[in-house]
Amino acid sequence: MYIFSNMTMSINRLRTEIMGGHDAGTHHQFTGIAKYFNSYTITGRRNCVLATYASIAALILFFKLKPKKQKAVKSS
Amino acid sequence: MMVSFFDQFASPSYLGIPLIAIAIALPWVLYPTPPARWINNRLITIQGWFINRFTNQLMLPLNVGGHKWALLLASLMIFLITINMLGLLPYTFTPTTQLSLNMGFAVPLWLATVIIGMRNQPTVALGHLLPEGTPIPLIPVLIIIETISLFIRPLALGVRLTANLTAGHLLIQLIATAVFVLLPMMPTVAILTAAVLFLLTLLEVAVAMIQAYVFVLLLSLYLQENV
Repeated sequence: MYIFSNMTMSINRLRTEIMGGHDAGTHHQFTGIAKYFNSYTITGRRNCVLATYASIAALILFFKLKPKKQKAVKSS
Repeated sequence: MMVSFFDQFASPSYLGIPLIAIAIALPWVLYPTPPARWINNRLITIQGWFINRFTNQLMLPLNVGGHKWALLLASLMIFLITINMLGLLPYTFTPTTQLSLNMGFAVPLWLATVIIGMRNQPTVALGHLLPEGTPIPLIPVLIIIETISLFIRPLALGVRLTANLTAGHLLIQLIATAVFVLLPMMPTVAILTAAVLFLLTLLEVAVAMIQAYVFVLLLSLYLQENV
């Protein structure tokens, strides 16, 4: 029975790969930060996208708001 | 007045009155509206059969939510294919050689598919920006690449149609001019060039139909991702 259920799982995975279907990622067991940021589950992918956009926005904001150094005026 | 090869792409006007509205509205005039009869004449029956078959084929990969777009996509296809084919007639103006018209179709329709996706299923729509199974070091790079490819879609849609039709019309005019110029000087070469012109015209008929179909098909694919 154990071998049969293993075979069914493998066949289902193979069917998903052949049909190019969307993998729900249910057979992945993520722990820790990988549970929220991974490239297998749809929520993991969404969080990665949002994190990347937030990082880019933070970088742009950082360089925009950075105070510009003024050159010291030399007395002649 | 110097006549150039690009005069065919100028917006038509007569005595200062712009004719672009007539050029764009022309396909509407050519298709008879089915009257309220149980059985219509052969022309309207064939017209209805083609439109139904095409719409059915286009809606196959879409789920029920995407079927709302059936009227829009079918009418867009008929409009584009008619304008493209009419433009192959001599001395006609082809509105789809204008980037403004094609971008006017591509940008709002693409944006509509993106907004529908973000509104109805934001997680799936955002998740599509990262291919499944991407290795961790490549994640940020691939997200940026996928975002760029998303925003390039309307540009590609509009420019593809414009470039294909403009290039085709220009080639036809160039080779036809070559035939006329060569005829008194080298008749044999002129006949060979005329044969090339004939084959090119056949190619342009195919391109006219295919480009209209590709435009609508790509839009339906973008819709399929988001609905």
